[in-house]
Amino acid sequence: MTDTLLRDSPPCPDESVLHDLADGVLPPAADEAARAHLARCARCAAMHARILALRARARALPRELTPPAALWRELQPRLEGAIVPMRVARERWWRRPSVLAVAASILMVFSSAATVLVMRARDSTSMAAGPFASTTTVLQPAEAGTLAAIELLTRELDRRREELSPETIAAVERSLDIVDQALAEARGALARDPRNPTLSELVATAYRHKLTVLRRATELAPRS
Amino acid sequence: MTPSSPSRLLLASLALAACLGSPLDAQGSRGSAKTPPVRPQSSSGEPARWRRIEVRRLVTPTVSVRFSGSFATLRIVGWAHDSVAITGTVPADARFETGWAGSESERVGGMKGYLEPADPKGVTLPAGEIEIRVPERARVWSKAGSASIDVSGVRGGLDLAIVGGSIRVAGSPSELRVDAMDGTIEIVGTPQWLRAKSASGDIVVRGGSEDAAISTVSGALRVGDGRFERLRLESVAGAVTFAGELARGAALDIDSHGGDVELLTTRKQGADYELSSIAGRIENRWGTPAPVVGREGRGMSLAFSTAGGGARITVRSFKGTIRLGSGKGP
Repeated sequence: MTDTLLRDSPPCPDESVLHDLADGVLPPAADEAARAHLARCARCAAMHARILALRARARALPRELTPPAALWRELQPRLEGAIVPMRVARERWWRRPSVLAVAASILMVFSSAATVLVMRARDSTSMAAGPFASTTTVLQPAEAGTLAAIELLTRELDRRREELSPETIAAVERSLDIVDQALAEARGALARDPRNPTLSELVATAYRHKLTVLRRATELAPRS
Repeated sequence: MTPSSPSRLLLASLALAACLGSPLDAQGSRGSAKTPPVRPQSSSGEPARWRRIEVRRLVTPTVSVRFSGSFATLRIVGWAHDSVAITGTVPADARFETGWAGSESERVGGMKGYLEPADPKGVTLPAGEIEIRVPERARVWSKAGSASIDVSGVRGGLDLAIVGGSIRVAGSPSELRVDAMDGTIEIVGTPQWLRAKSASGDIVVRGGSEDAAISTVSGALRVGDGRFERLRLESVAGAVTFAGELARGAALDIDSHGGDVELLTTRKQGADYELSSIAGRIENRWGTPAPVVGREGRGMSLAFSTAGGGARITVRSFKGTIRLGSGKGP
Protein backbone atom coordinates (compact mmCIF):
# COMPACT_ATOMS: atom_id res chain seq x y z
CA MET A 1 0.00 0.00 0.00
CA THR A 2 2.76 2.41 0.96
CA ASP A 3 4.67 1.50 -2.18
CA THR A 4 1.58 2.23 -4.25
CA LEU A 5 1.17 5.62 -2.56
CA LEU A 6 4.81 6.50 -3.13
CA ARG A 7 4.61 5.46 -6.75
CA ASP A 8 1.46 7.51 -7.30
CA SER A 9 2.75 10.64 -5.56
CA PRO A 10 4.66 13.17 -7.64
CA PRO A 11 8.37 13.38 -6.79
CA CYS A 12 9.53 15.81 -4.13
CA PRO A 13 10.14 19.28 -5.54
CA ASP A 14 13.61 20.70 -5.77
CA GLU A 15 14.78 22.64 -2.72
CA SER A 16 14.83 25.84 -4.77
CA VAL A 17 11.07 25.42 -5.29
CA LEU A 18 10.59 25.35 -1.54
CA HIS A 19 12.64 28.55 -1.23
CA ASP A 20 10.55 30.18 -3.94
CA LEU A 21 7.42 29.04 -2.15
CA ALA A 22 8.65 30.61 1.08
CA ASP A 23 9.48 33.80 -0.82
CA GLY A 24 6.03 33.82 -2.41
CA VAL A 25 7.38 34.08 -5.93
CA LEU A 26 5.98 30.87 -7.42
CA PRO A 27 3.30 31.18 -10.11
CA PRO A 28 -0.18 30.36 -8.74
CA ALA A 29 -0.37 26.87 -10.24
CA ALA A 30 3.10 25.90 -9.02
CA ASP A 31 2.35 27.43 -5.64
CA GLU A 32 -0.81 25.32 -5.33
CA ALA A 33 0.98 22.15 -6.41
CA ALA A 34 3.83 22.76 -3.97
CA ARG A 35 1.45 23.34 -1.08
CA ALA A 36 -0.49 20.20 -1.97
CA HIS A 37 2.78 18.28 -1.87
CA LEU A 38 3.67 19.73 1.52
CA ALA A 39 0.38 18.47 2.87
CA ARG A 40 1.41 14.94 1.91
CA CYS A 41 5.16 14.95 2.47
CA ALA A 42 6.44 15.42 6.01
CA ARG A 43 10.06 15.73 4.89
CA CYS A 44 9.35 18.63 2.51
CA ALA A 45 6.99 20.24 5.03
CA ALA A 46 9.77 20.17 7.61
CA MET A 47 12.23 21.66 5.11
CA HIS A 48 9.74 24.39 4.23
CA ALA A 49 9.22 25.16 7.91
CA ARG A 50 13.01 25.44 8.38
CA ILE A 51 13.25 27.88 5.45
CA LEU A 52 10.47 30.02 6.92
CA ALA A 53 12.18 30.02 10.31
CA LEU A 54 15.49 30.98 8.69
CA ARG A 55 13.81 33.87 6.89
CA ALA A 56 12.28 35.07 10.14
CA ARG A 57 15.66 34.90 11.90
CA ALA A 58 17.37 36.72 9.02
CA ARG A 59 14.80 39.50 9.14
CA ALA A 60 15.37 39.91 12.85
CA LEU A 61 19.10 40.52 12.39
CA PRO A 62 20.33 44.05 13.14
CA ARG A 63 20.75 46.41 10.20
CA GLU A 64 24.37 47.11 10.99
CA LEU A 65 26.94 45.11 12.85
CA THR A 66 29.31 46.85 15.18
CA PRO A 67 32.61 45.22 16.07
CA PRO A 68 33.09 44.29 19.71
CA ALA A 69 35.11 46.74 21.78
CA ALA A 70 37.91 44.21 22.14
CA LEU A 71 38.20 43.93 18.37
CA TRP A 72 38.40 47.70 18.04
CA ARG A 73 41.21 47.83 20.62
CA GLU A 74 43.13 45.37 18.45
CA LEU A 75 42.39 47.15 15.21
CA GLN A 76 43.08 50.70 16.28
CA PRO A 77 46.88 50.43 16.61
CA ARG A 78 47.06 48.65 13.26
CA LEU A 79 44.97 51.28 11.54
CA GLU A 80 46.93 54.12 13.11
CA GLY A 81 50.14 52.37 12.18
CA ALA A 82 48.94 52.12 8.63
CA ILE A 83 48.21 55.82 8.48
CA VAL A 84 51.59 57.06 9.64
CA PRO A 85 53.52 56.45 6.41
CA MET A 86 50.69 57.94 4.39
CA ARG A 87 51.11 61.21 6.26
CA VAL A 88 54.83 61.55 5.77
CA ALA A 89 55.52 60.10 2.35
CA ARG A 90 55.57 62.05 -0.87
CA GLU A 91 53.39 61.36 -3.89
CA ARG A 92 52.96 57.64 -4.26
CA TRP A 93 50.33 55.39 -5.81
CA TRP A 94 48.60 55.03 -2.49
CA ARG A 95 48.07 58.80 -2.35
CA ARG A 96 45.60 58.47 -5.18
CA PRO A 97 42.13 59.56 -4.12
CA SER A 98 40.65 56.13 -4.76
CA VAL A 99 43.17 54.43 -2.51
CA LEU A 100 42.82 57.10 0.14
CA ALA A 101 39.08 56.74 -0.07
CA VAL A 102 39.37 53.02 0.57
CA ALA A 103 41.66 53.65 3.54
CA ALA A 104 39.35 56.30 4.88
CA SER A 105 36.36 54.03 4.36
CA ILE A 106 38.01 51.33 6.44
CA LEU A 107 38.68 53.87 9.15
CA MET A 108 35.16 55.20 8.85
CA VAL A 109 33.56 51.80 9.23
CA PHE A 110 35.49 50.84 12.31
CA SER A 111 35.73 54.26 13.88
CA SER A 112 32.07 55.20 13.51
CA ALA A 113 31.01 51.75 14.63
CA ALA A 114 33.31 52.01 17.59
CA THR A 115 32.06 55.52 18.31
CA VAL A 116 28.54 54.21 18.63
CA LEU A 117 29.72 51.22 20.58
CA VAL A 118 31.73 53.21 23.08
CA MET A 119 29.02 55.81 23.40
CA ARG A 120 26.44 53.12 24.04
CA ALA A 121 28.72 51.62 26.64
CA ARG A 122 29.20 55.05 28.14
CA ASP A 123 26.40 54.55 30.67
CA SER A 124 28.22 52.04 32.80
CA THR A 125 31.56 53.83 32.47
CA SER A 126 30.24 57.23 33.42
CA MET A 127 28.14 55.82 36.23
CA ALA A 128 31.19 54.12 37.66
CA ALA A 129 33.14 57.32 37.40
CA GLY A 130 30.39 59.39 38.95
CA PRO A 131 28.09 62.05 37.56
CA PHE A 132 30.90 64.48 36.83
CA ALA A 133 32.94 62.10 34.70
CA SER A 134 34.36 63.76 31.63
CA THR A 135 32.87 62.51 28.37
CA THR A 136 36.13 63.44 26.69
CA THR A 137 37.76 60.58 28.53
CA VAL A 138 34.94 58.22 27.64
CA LEU A 139 34.91 59.12 23.95
CA GLN A 140 38.62 59.37 23.46
CA PRO A 141 39.37 55.81 22.27
CA ALA A 142 36.65 55.83 19.63
CA GLU A 143 37.13 59.42 18.59
CA ALA A 144 40.79 58.83 17.94
CA GLY A 145 39.96 56.60 15.00
CA THR A 146 37.29 58.94 13.68
CA LEU A 147 39.52 61.98 14.05
CA ALA A 148 42.36 60.15 12.29
CA ALA A 149 40.07 59.52 9.33
CA ILE A 150 38.92 63.15 9.36
CA GLU A 151 42.50 64.39 9.47
CA LEU A 152 43.52 62.13 6.62
CA LEU A 153 40.68 63.28 4.43
CA THR A 154 41.11 66.95 5.37
CA ARG A 155 44.75 66.84 4.31
CA GLU A 156 43.82 65.21 1.05
CA LEU A 157 41.16 67.84 0.44
CA ASP A 158 43.66 70.62 1.15
CA ARG A 159 46.11 69.03 -1.25
CA ARG A 160 43.48 68.91 -3.98
CA ARG A 161 42.01 72.33 -3.29
CA GLU A 162 43.54 73.88 -6.41
CA GLU A 163 42.16 71.11 -8.62
CA LEU A 164 38.55 71.74 -7.68
CA SER A 165 36.39 74.64 -8.77
CA PRO A 166 35.91 77.51 -6.28
CA GLU A 167 32.16 76.82 -6.29
CA THR A 168 32.71 73.21 -5.27
CA ILE A 169 35.17 74.16 -2.54
CA ALA A 170 32.69 76.75 -1.26
CA ALA A 171 29.89 74.16 -1.21
CA VAL A 172 32.06 71.69 0.66
CA GLU A 173 33.14 74.28 3.20
CA ARG A 174 29.56 75.42 3.76
CA SER A 175 28.54 71.86 4.53
CA LEU A 176 31.53 71.25 6.78
CA ASP A 177 30.77 74.45 8.72
CA ILE A 178 27.20 73.30 9.28
CA VAL A 179 28.36 69.87 10.45
CA ASP A 180 31.10 71.31 12.69
CA GLN A 181 28.61 73.62 14.35
CA ALA A 182 26.21 70.74 14.95
CA LEU A 183 29.03 68.58 16.23
CA ALA A 184 30.16 71.26 18.67
CA GLU A 185 26.63 71.72 19.98
CA ALA A 186 26.02 68.00 20.39
CA ARG A 187 29.43 67.37 21.96
CA GLY A 188 28.89 70.23 24.40
CA ALA A 189 25.50 68.89 25.38
CA LEU A 190 26.90 65.39 25.79
CA ALA A 191 29.60 66.74 28.08
CA ARG A 192 26.84 68.18 30.28
CA ASP A 193 24.62 65.10 30.04
CA PRO A 194 26.90 62.12 29.40
CA ARG A 195 24.19 59.54 30.03
CA ASN A 196 21.87 60.76 27.32
CA PRO A 197 21.59 58.07 24.62
CA THR A 198 19.99 60.46 22.12
CA LEU A 199 22.99 62.76 22.34
CA SER A 200 25.35 59.83 21.84
CA GLU A 201 23.56 58.88 18.64
CA LEU A 202 23.45 62.48 17.42
CA VAL A 203 27.19 62.93 17.95
CA ALA A 204 27.87 59.69 16.08
CA THR A 205 25.57 60.84 13.26
CA ALA A 206 27.33 64.20 13.03
CA TYR A 207 30.70 62.49 12.72
CA ARG A 208 29.27 60.28 10.02
CA HIS A 209 28.07 63.35 8.10
CA LYS A 210 31.48 64.97 8.35
CA LEU A 211 33.28 61.88 7.11
CA THR A 212 30.81 61.49 4.26
CA VAL A 213 31.25 65.07 3.04
CA LEU A 214 35.03 64.87 3.27
CA ARG A 215 35.24 61.52 1.55
CA ARG A 216 32.94 62.63 -1.23
CA ALA A 217 34.95 65.83 -1.74
CA THR A 218 38.23 63.96 -2.00
CA GLU A 219 36.77 61.60 -4.58
CA LEU A 220 35.73 64.37 -6.95
CA ALA A 221 37.33 64.47 -10.35
CA PRO A 222 39.65 67.41 -11.12
CA ARG A 223 37.82 70.54 -12.30
CA SER A 224 34.60 69.40 -10.64
CA MET B 1 27.83 48.67 -6.91
CA THR B 2 28.58 46.93 -3.69
CA PRO B 3 31.62 47.94 -1.65
CA SER B 4 34.74 46.39 -3.09
CA SER B 5 37.99 45.39 -1.54
CA PRO B 6 41.12 47.33 -2.57
CA SER B 7 42.40 44.28 -4.42
CA ARG B 8 39.14 44.02 -6.32
CA LEU B 9 39.26 47.70 -7.11
CA LEU B 10 42.78 47.30 -8.35
CA LEU B 11 41.83 44.32 -10.50
CA ALA B 12 38.82 46.19 -11.84
CA SER B 13 41.02 49.18 -12.67
CA LEU B 14 43.50 46.95 -14.47
CA ALA B 15 40.70 45.27 -16.38
CA LEU B 16 39.25 48.60 -17.40
CA ALA B 17 42.64 49.93 -18.37
CA ALA B 18 43.17 46.83 -20.48
CA CYS B 19 39.71 47.33 -21.87
CA LEU B 20 40.49 50.88 -22.91
CA GLY B 21 43.74 49.74 -24.39
CA SER B 22 41.91 47.28 -26.62
CA PRO B 23 40.22 48.19 -29.90
CA LEU B 24 37.83 51.03 -29.27
CA ASP B 25 34.56 52.20 -30.64
CA ALA B 26 34.64 55.86 -31.30
CA GLN B 27 32.44 58.27 -33.13
CA GLY B 28 30.04 55.63 -34.28
CA SER B 29 32.49 53.09 -35.62
CA ARG B 30 31.61 49.60 -34.50
CA GLY B 31 34.52 47.87 -32.85
CA SER B 32 37.05 49.68 -34.96
CA ALA B 33 40.63 50.22 -33.94
CA LYS B 34 41.33 53.31 -31.85
CA THR B 35 40.78 56.42 -33.90
CA PRO B 36 41.31 60.05 -32.99
CA PRO B 37 38.20 62.13 -32.37
CA VAL B 38 36.63 63.33 -35.59
CA ARG B 39 36.43 67.05 -36.21
CA PRO B 40 33.59 67.23 -38.71
CA GLN B 41 33.52 70.01 -41.26
CA SER B 42 30.45 72.01 -42.05
CA SER B 43 29.46 72.66 -45.65
CA SER B 44 31.30 75.98 -45.55
CA GLY B 45 34.48 74.26 -44.49
CA GLU B 46 34.41 75.82 -41.01
CA PRO B 47 34.67 73.47 -38.03
CA ALA B 48 31.22 72.46 -36.85
CA ARG B 49 30.40 73.34 -33.25
CA TRP B 50 28.57 70.14 -32.51
CA ARG B 51 28.66 66.62 -33.79
CA ARG B 52 26.44 63.63 -33.42
CA ILE B 53 27.64 60.41 -31.88
CA GLU B 54 26.24 56.93 -32.26
CA VAL B 55 27.68 53.68 -30.94
CA ARG B 56 25.85 50.35 -30.78
CA ARG B 57 27.03 47.03 -29.49
CA LEU B 58 25.67 43.62 -28.49
CA VAL B 59 26.11 43.00 -24.78
CA THR B 60 25.14 40.53 -22.08
CA PRO B 61 21.83 41.15 -20.26
CA THR B 62 23.67 42.16 -17.10
CA VAL B 63 26.37 44.25 -18.73
CA SER B 64 28.30 46.71 -16.56
CA VAL B 65 28.31 50.20 -18.06
CA ARG B 66 30.51 53.02 -16.80
CA PHE B 67 30.21 56.49 -18.23
CA SER B 68 31.79 59.66 -16.92
CA GLY B 69 32.83 63.07 -18.10
CA SER B 70 31.74 66.63 -18.55
CA PHE B 71 28.40 66.09 -20.25
CA ALA B 72 25.51 68.42 -19.46
CA THR B 73 22.70 65.91 -19.84
CA LEU B 74 22.71 62.15 -19.63
CA ARG B 75 19.66 60.01 -20.19
CA ILE B 76 19.92 56.34 -19.28
CA VAL B 77 17.09 54.16 -20.50
CA GLY B 78 16.61 50.48 -19.77
CA TRP B 79 15.21 48.61 -22.74
CA ALA B 80 14.27 45.04 -23.60
CA HIS B 81 17.26 44.40 -25.86
CA ASP B 82 20.63 42.88 -25.12
CA SER B 83 22.51 45.77 -26.61
CA VAL B 84 23.87 49.14 -25.65
CA ALA B 85 23.16 52.15 -27.82
CA ILE B 86 24.85 55.47 -27.16
CA THR B 87 23.58 58.43 -29.11
CA GLY B 88 23.72 62.16 -28.67
CA THR B 89 25.23 65.48 -29.54
CA VAL B 90 28.56 66.61 -28.15
CA PRO B 91 30.90 69.54 -28.73
CA ALA B 92 32.76 68.98 -31.97
CA ASP B 93 36.17 69.19 -30.39
CA ALA B 94 35.34 67.09 -27.30
CA ARG B 95 36.92 63.71 -26.90
CA PHE B 96 34.32 60.96 -26.76
CA GLU B 97 35.47 57.39 -26.47
CA THR B 98 34.16 54.01 -25.50
CA GLY B 99 35.99 50.83 -24.61
CA TRP B 100 34.45 47.38 -24.59
CA ALA B 101 35.49 44.33 -22.60
CA GLY B 102 35.64 41.93 -25.53
CA SER B 103 35.82 41.62 -29.27
CA GLU B 104 33.17 42.85 -31.66
CA SER B 105 32.04 39.33 -32.48
CA GLU B 106 30.95 38.53 -28.95
CA ARG B 107 28.44 39.88 -26.48
CA VAL B 108 30.50 41.87 -24.03
CA GLY B 109 29.91 42.08 -20.31
CA GLY B 110 31.39 45.51 -19.72
CA MET B 111 31.97 48.89 -21.29
CA LYS B 112 33.45 52.18 -20.29
CA GLY B 113 33.02 55.53 -21.93
CA TYR B 114 33.78 59.15 -21.32
CA LEU B 115 33.34 62.60 -22.72
CA GLU B 116 36.20 64.99 -22.16
CA PRO B 117 36.53 68.61 -23.20
CA ALA B 118 39.13 69.49 -25.83
CA ASP B 119 41.25 71.33 -23.31
CA PRO B 120 41.15 69.21 -20.17
CA LYS B 121 43.28 71.71 -18.24
CA GLY B 122 41.08 74.67 -18.97
CA VAL B 123 37.82 75.59 -17.37
CA THR B 124 35.14 74.06 -19.54
CA LEU B 125 31.45 74.16 -18.93
CA PRO B 126 29.72 70.80 -19.18
CA ALA B 127 28.20 70.36 -22.61
CA GLY B 128 26.57 67.70 -24.69
CA GLU B 129 23.46 65.60 -24.50
CA ILE B 130 23.90 61.85 -24.39
CA GLU B 131 21.45 59.00 -24.25
CA ILE B 132 22.54 55.51 -23.31
CA ARG B 133 20.15 52.63 -23.80
CA VAL B 134 21.07 49.57 -21.80
CA PRO B 135 19.51 46.15 -21.11
CA GLU B 136 17.01 46.43 -18.27
CA ARG B 137 19.16 44.33 -15.96
CA ALA B 138 22.36 46.25 -16.66
CA ARG B 139 24.47 47.78 -13.93
CA VAL B 140 25.27 51.39 -14.69
CA TRP B 141 27.82 53.67 -13.06
CA SER B 142 28.08 57.31 -13.95
CA LYS B 143 29.99 60.20 -12.47
CA ALA B 144 29.89 63.82 -13.57
CA GLY B 145 30.53 67.34 -12.37
CA SER B 146 27.53 69.54 -12.91
CA ALA B 147 25.02 67.57 -14.90
CA SER B 148 21.46 66.45 -15.25
CA ILE B 149 21.11 62.67 -15.14
CA ASP B 150 17.77 61.09 -15.89
CA VAL B 151 17.28 57.34 -15.58
CA SER B 152 14.27 55.21 -16.41
CA GLY B 153 13.51 51.53 -16.77
CA VAL B 154 16.71 50.09 -15.32
CA ARG B 155 16.10 47.09 -13.07
CA GLY B 156 19.74 46.18 -12.40
CA GLY B 157 22.05 48.41 -10.42
CA LEU B 158 22.70 52.14 -10.57
CA ASP B 159 25.53 54.13 -9.04
CA LEU B 160 25.27 57.80 -9.90
CA ALA B 161 27.26 60.76 -8.63
CA ILE B 162 27.27 64.44 -9.49
CA VAL B 163 28.49 67.63 -7.89
CA GLY B 164 25.73 69.98 -9.03
CA GLY B 165 22.66 69.69 -11.20
CA SER B 166 20.12 66.97 -10.71
CA ILE B 167 19.58 63.24 -10.70
CA ARG B 168 16.19 61.73 -11.39
CA VAL B 169 15.59 58.00 -11.29
CA ALA B 170 12.26 56.47 -12.29
CA GLY B 171 11.81 52.74 -11.91
CA SER B 172 12.76 49.99 -9.56
CA PRO B 173 16.43 49.07 -9.74
CA SER B 174 17.59 46.31 -7.43
CA GLU B 175 20.40 48.56 -6.17
CA LEU B 176 20.48 52.32 -6.30
CA ARG B 177 23.26 54.50 -4.98
CA VAL B 178 22.95 58.22 -5.64
CA ASP B 179 25.29 60.94 -4.50
CA ALA B 180 24.88 64.64 -5.21
CA MET B 181 27.08 67.17 -3.49
CA ASP B 182 25.13 70.29 -4.37
CA GLY B 183 22.50 68.83 -6.66
CA THR B 184 18.98 67.60 -6.21
CA ILE B 185 17.89 63.98 -6.21
CA GLU B 186 14.47 62.66 -7.12
CA ILE B 187 13.59 58.98 -7.02
CA VAL B 188 10.26 57.69 -8.22
CA GLY B 189 9.86 53.94 -7.81
CA THR B 190 10.72 51.12 -5.48
CA PRO B 191 14.44 50.40 -5.46
CA GLN B 192 15.06 47.29 -3.43
CA TRP B 193 18.24 48.73 -1.88
CA LEU B 194 18.73 52.47 -1.79
CA ARG B 195 21.45 54.79 -0.59
CA ALA B 196 21.09 58.49 -1.39
CA LYS B 197 23.28 61.29 -0.10
CA SER B 198 23.60 64.99 -0.67
CA ALA B 199 25.36 67.85 1.04
CA SER B 200 23.08 70.76 0.26
CA GLY B 201 20.72 69.37 -2.34
CA ASP B 202 17.16 68.28 -1.67
CA ILE B 203 16.23 64.62 -1.88
CA VAL B 204 12.72 63.45 -2.75
CA VAL B 205 11.69 59.80 -2.78
CA ARG B 206 8.25 58.84 -4.06
CA GLY B 207 8.02 55.12 -3.61
CA GLY B 208 9.22 52.45 -1.23
CA SER B 209 12.18 50.23 -0.51
CA GLU B 210 13.18 47.19 1.47
CA ASP B 211 16.36 48.83 2.70
CA ALA B 212 16.99 52.53 2.37
CA ALA B 213 19.32 55.07 3.93
CA ILE B 214 19.04 58.70 2.88
CA SER B 215 21.08 61.55 4.26
CA THR B 216 21.78 65.21 3.69
CA VAL B 217 23.60 68.01 5.48
CA SER B 218 21.38 70.96 4.71
CA GLY B 219 19.02 69.84 1.97
CA ALA B 220 15.42 68.85 2.59
CA LEU B 221 14.45 65.17 2.72
CA ARG B 222 10.95 64.23 1.62
CA VAL B 223 10.09 60.56 1.59
CA GLY B 224 6.73 58.98 1.05
CA ASP B 225 4.11 57.38 -1.16
CA GLY B 226 5.48 53.90 -0.64
CA ARG B 227 6.12 51.05 1.74
CA PHE B 228 9.41 50.70 3.59
CA GLU B 229 10.95 47.89 5.64
CA ARG B 230 14.20 49.41 6.87
CA LEU B 231 14.63 53.14 6.45
CA ARG B 232 17.14 55.57 7.91
CA LEU B 233 16.89 59.32 7.34
CA GLU B 234 19.64 61.64 8.52
CA SER B 235 19.95 65.40 8.30
CA VAL B 236 21.97 68.08 10.02
CA ALA B 237 20.11 71.26 9.15
CA GLY B 238 17.56 70.25 6.53
CA ALA B 239 13.90 69.51 7.16
CA VAL B 240 12.84 65.87 7.09
CA THR B 241 9.39 64.69 6.05
CA PHE B 242 8.29 61.08 6.14
CA ALA B 243 4.86 60.27 4.79
CA GLY B 244 5.18 56.64 3.80
CA GLU B 245 3.90 53.33 5.01
CA LEU B 246 5.86 50.88 7.11
CA ALA B 247 5.75 47.12 6.80
CA ARG B 248 4.95 45.11 9.90
CA GLY B 249 8.18 44.75 11.84
CA ALA B 250 9.77 47.58 9.88
CA ALA B 251 12.30 49.99 11.35
CA LEU B 252 12.36 53.73 10.71
CA ASP B 253 15.17 55.81 12.22
CA ILE B 254 15.31 59.57 11.78
CA ASP B 255 18.20 61.64 13.10
CA SER B 256 18.18 65.40 12.71
CA HIS B 257 20.24 68.05 14.41
CA GLY B 258 18.54 71.34 13.67
CA GLY B 259 16.02 70.63 10.93
CA ASP B 260 12.37 70.05 11.72
CA VAL B 261 11.01 66.54 11.38
CA GLU B 262 7.52 65.94 10.03
CA LEU B 263 6.23 62.43 10.67
CA LEU B 264 3.04 61.91 8.72
CA THR B 265 1.70 58.48 9.53
CA THR B 266 -1.73 57.22 10.55
CA ARG B 267 -3.05 55.75 13.75
CA LYS B 268 -3.87 52.62 11.74
CA GLN B 269 -0.17 52.05 11.26
CA GLY B 270 0.86 49.49 13.87
CA ALA B 271 3.98 51.06 15.32
CA ASP B 272 5.98 51.73 18.46
CA TYR B 273 7.00 55.37 18.51
CA GLU B 274 9.98 56.77 20.38
CA LEU B 275 10.54 60.45 19.75
CA SER B 276 13.01 62.69 21.55
CA SER B 277 14.33 66.19 21.08
CA ILE B 278 17.16 67.50 23.24
CA ALA B 279 16.32 71.19 23.00
CA GLY B 280 13.41 71.31 20.57
CA ARG B 281 9.69 70.68 20.74
CA ILE B 282 7.46 67.74 19.94
CA GLU B 283 4.01 68.47 18.58
CA ASN B 284 1.53 65.62 18.54
CA ARG B 285 -1.28 66.70 16.24
CA TRP B 286 -3.24 63.62 17.20
CA GLY B 287 -3.66 65.21 20.61
CA THR B 288 -2.78 62.27 22.81
CA PRO B 289 -0.55 61.20 24.29
CA ALA B 290 1.15 64.44 25.17
CA PRO B 291 4.92 64.70 25.03
CA VAL B 292 6.87 64.79 28.26
CA VAL B 293 8.93 67.90 28.91
CA GLY B 294 12.56 67.16 29.72
CA ARG B 295 14.50 67.94 32.84
CA GLU B 296 15.03 71.64 33.51
CA GLY B 297 12.13 72.34 31.16
CA ARG B 298 14.24 71.74 28.09
CA GLY B 299 13.57 69.26 25.33
CA MET B 300 10.76 66.74 25.01
CA SER B 301 10.18 63.04 24.58
CA LEU B 302 7.23 60.92 23.55
CA ALA B 303 6.82 57.15 23.49
CA PHE B 304 3.66 55.25 22.64
CA SER B 305 2.23 52.55 20.40
CA THR B 306 -0.53 52.50 17.82
CA ALA B 307 -2.64 49.60 16.55
CA GLY B 308 -0.91 47.08 18.77
CA GLY B 309 2.59 48.09 17.73
CA GLY B 310 4.74 46.39 15.14
CA ALA B 311 6.99 48.77 13.28
CA ARG B 312 9.63 50.61 15.27
CA ILE B 313 9.82 54.37 14.71
CA THR B 314 12.64 56.30 16.37
CA VAL B 315 13.14 60.02 15.88
CA ARG B 316 16.04 61.88 17.45
CA SER B 317 16.48 65.62 17.15
CA PHE B 318 18.83 68.04 18.82
CA LYS B 319 16.97 71.31 18.47
CA GLY B 320 14.50 70.86 15.64
CA THR B 321 10.78 70.48 16.14
CA ILE B 322 9.26 67.03 15.69
CA ARG B 323 5.70 67.10 14.36
CA LEU B 324 3.57 64.00 14.40
CA GLY B 325 0.34 63.80 12.49
CA SER B 326 -1.53 62.46 9.53
CA GLY B 327 -0.99 63.70 6.03
CA LYS B 328 -0.20 63.00 2.45
CA GLY B 329 3.11 62.13 0.85
CA PRO B 330 5.66 64.58 -0.43
